[in-house]
Amino acid sequence: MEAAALKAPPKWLEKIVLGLIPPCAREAVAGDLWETYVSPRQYAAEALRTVPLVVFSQMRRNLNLPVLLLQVSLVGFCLGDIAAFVILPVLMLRDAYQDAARPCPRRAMRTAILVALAALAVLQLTSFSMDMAIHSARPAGTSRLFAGLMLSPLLGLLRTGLILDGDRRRWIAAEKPSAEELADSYRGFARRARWHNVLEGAALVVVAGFAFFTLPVTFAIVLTGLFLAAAFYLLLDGAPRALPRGCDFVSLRAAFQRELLRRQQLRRFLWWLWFTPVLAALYLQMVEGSLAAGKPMLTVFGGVAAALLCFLIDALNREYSGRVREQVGLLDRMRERLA
Amino acid sequence: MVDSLGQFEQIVLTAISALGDNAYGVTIHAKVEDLSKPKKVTRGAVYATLDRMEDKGLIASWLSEPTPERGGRSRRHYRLEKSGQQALRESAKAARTLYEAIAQSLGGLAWKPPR
Repeated sequence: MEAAALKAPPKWLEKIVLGLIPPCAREAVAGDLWETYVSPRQYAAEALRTVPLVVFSQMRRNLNLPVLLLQVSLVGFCLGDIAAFVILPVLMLRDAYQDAARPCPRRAMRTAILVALAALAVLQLTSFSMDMAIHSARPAGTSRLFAGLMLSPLLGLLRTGLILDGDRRRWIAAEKPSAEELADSYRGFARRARWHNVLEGAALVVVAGFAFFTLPVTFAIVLTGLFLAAAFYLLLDGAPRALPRGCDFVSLRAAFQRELLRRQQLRRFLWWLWFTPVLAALYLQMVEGSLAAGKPMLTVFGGVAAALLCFLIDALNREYSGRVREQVGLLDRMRERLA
Repeated sequence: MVDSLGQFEQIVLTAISALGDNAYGVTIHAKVEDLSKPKKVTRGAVYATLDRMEDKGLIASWLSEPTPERGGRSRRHYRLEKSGQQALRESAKAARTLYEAIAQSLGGLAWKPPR
């Protein structure tokens, strides 16, 4: 026991290494590093050799090229090429370090409140500086202050709703299922996913048609193309694959995990896709339009609204991908109930 | 027909196959180092390859119960899937064909592959 205690890496060093390992690989990689621990120097050197490749591997695994292209194009469209170039590695690293479980409610609330306060601060500061600039006697927007204060509980409520919705869904009946029960759960998941794809695919086609006939030509072509491509993919190849015949519990579990993660990546792309026209319209109408019309306050409003919308998409994605990661983790530890 | 494997992938799959139930990060790395001698292999390269092959469906993984000698953490165990076994067999077949072609063109090699 004493020998085992002596062989443990120093707490501070372990904490640093744990912080560097992406959450999805942390358990196994940190355990392996601990198991081969000889001295702090060896531990640190081994971690330095190992962690960068683990980070790259997680980047590759979590890379969602369509989402990344969509996000970078949006940033490039609104803020310019340099911003897009800077944001690219940040987004990829963020993907590598995405949580292995759902965000904890307290942290989710704190983020919601911070985002609301940040939005409020931006609005207030801008409105104050505008008032000063035009020597207005009017006190800086009480209505805006009120609207800003309302944001915080609203975003908090939204996060609570997402968390409660996640808690409500139970996806596998037994904690220690047999292979047949696991296969049944998979079939249920696949059936729901297929129905969902049909409905969402149809909705995408309808919106694509609407966009084609109502929007300006360039915008309409891009948007219709994107929506139709997504709809065809959903309908033709979006459904979970059928299970291979005669596979055992381990293969079944691996197939289930792969399809859950594939579905999560697809969902992530679709959420960004659904909100892309809104973000582009916000930019065109409120940011560019108001700048041209000489209404800088409206520009700030547009920027803040876009930031809040991005927060909403991100919250949806975090909640969903957290739930999927949680399910993948449960499957990882699930043992087969033998007959 | 499965995707053809890279050389390092073949080595990692062979290590998992040889280790059987005891295939996890540390043991796989040790076996891969052994098979790749005299070349040094970092553990990170092994993890990256394992991740890639898991995504391709060649191997499956799961977590064991946490153990005290790992600071209360679990091991990630690996196992070959049917497609992984098939890919490894095809690689061995290709290697044997290559070996025989070289042996024929050079008029025999100094060593023979184990049967």
